[in-house]
Amino acid sequence: MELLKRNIPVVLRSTYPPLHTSTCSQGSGALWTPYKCDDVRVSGVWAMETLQYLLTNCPSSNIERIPTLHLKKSISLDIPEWTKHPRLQFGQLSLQELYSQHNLLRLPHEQEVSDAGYTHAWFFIPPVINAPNMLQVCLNSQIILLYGSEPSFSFSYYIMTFRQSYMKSVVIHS
Amino acid sequence: MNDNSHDIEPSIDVNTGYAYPSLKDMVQHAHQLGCTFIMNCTGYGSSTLCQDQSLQAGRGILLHYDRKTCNNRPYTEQDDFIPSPDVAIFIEDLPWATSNEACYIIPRGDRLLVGGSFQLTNHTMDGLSVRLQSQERERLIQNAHRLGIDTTQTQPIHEWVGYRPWRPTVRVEVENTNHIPIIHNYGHGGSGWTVYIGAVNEAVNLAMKSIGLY
Repeated sequence: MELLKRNIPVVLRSTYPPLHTSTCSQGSGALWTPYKCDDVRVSGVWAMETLQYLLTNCPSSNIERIPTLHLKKSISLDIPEWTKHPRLQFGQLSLQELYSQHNLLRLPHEQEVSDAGYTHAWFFIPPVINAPNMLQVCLNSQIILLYGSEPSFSFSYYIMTFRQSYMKSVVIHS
Repeated sequence: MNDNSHDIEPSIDVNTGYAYPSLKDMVQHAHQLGCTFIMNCTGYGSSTLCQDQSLQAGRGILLHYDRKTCNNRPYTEQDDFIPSPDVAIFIEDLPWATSNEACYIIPRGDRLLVGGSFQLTNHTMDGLSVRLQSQERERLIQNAHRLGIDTTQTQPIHEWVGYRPWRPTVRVEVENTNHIPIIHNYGHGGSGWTVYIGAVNEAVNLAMKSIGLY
């Protein structure tokens, strides 16, 4: 889509459609948080650009800002850079502060959390992407950019019909 | 532009049913189509396509609960259901979790997703690893209970096993071939939706540079 926005003609080829059940996005959480990726670019500029885009360009039907906790067994002294984005409203709270300040949230039982030895929490409000919806929106947007109209076929048909995909390719030309 | 570029039209076909067996096949096809460059966004498929030994599958497991009908655990024996705003909770520390067996819940759309795991493997296609094992299901139900779901009253509506395309570093770079440059963009691990805009911007900038447009 980024190529189309830059007026680069695109030939897009994929083995199976993006809403196919075998894509990771059908099942995964899609919580905006750098996770299990050791590349410094992930928790740096790439994550920040994506966060900014999600918060300013995506309709609320596709993303939802969800209060998020990372429960810890001690206070964290090494806080990653991505936590500094002001719209995340990041803070580090003791367990007592968490339960007194956010008692309207659906938190786990305080006594059980305390008994397990968790004493602190990172608290922030990132977007959660409704990934299946977002994939369809992305594809529809590409079709509109390329053909100038809404797609007239049903993607759900493909979901029911096809299985198994590890391959998605984009072939483009100029 | 290649000489045969007049033969092709910009198009979208996301249901070809065909997976390129090698980069060579992909390049040949793109060359036949008259393409100027290739953007490779095949995720874990690049382990085969590119013979990338550093790309591994980070196996993840989840249970899905219906967000609208899911019952919360009562706070005390006397309490009834207490409606309250949903929250995502993530734990990687003992005793409820470890780094590779996280305990988490994420509200997403009309579902509550309870996880999880991160098991690096190169064997995604064996019968065991693509299905949730009974011990794994029990652990996820225990996670759901700990994180507030009344698992005696609520059953999961779906279970999920997926593979994150993990690599020590994400591969966003140009590979020059005899015919057409390939811009790789894969290996984002568990951070695909967290970085997709930033990574694609860099990949597109590399593509523009590779054809002298930037």
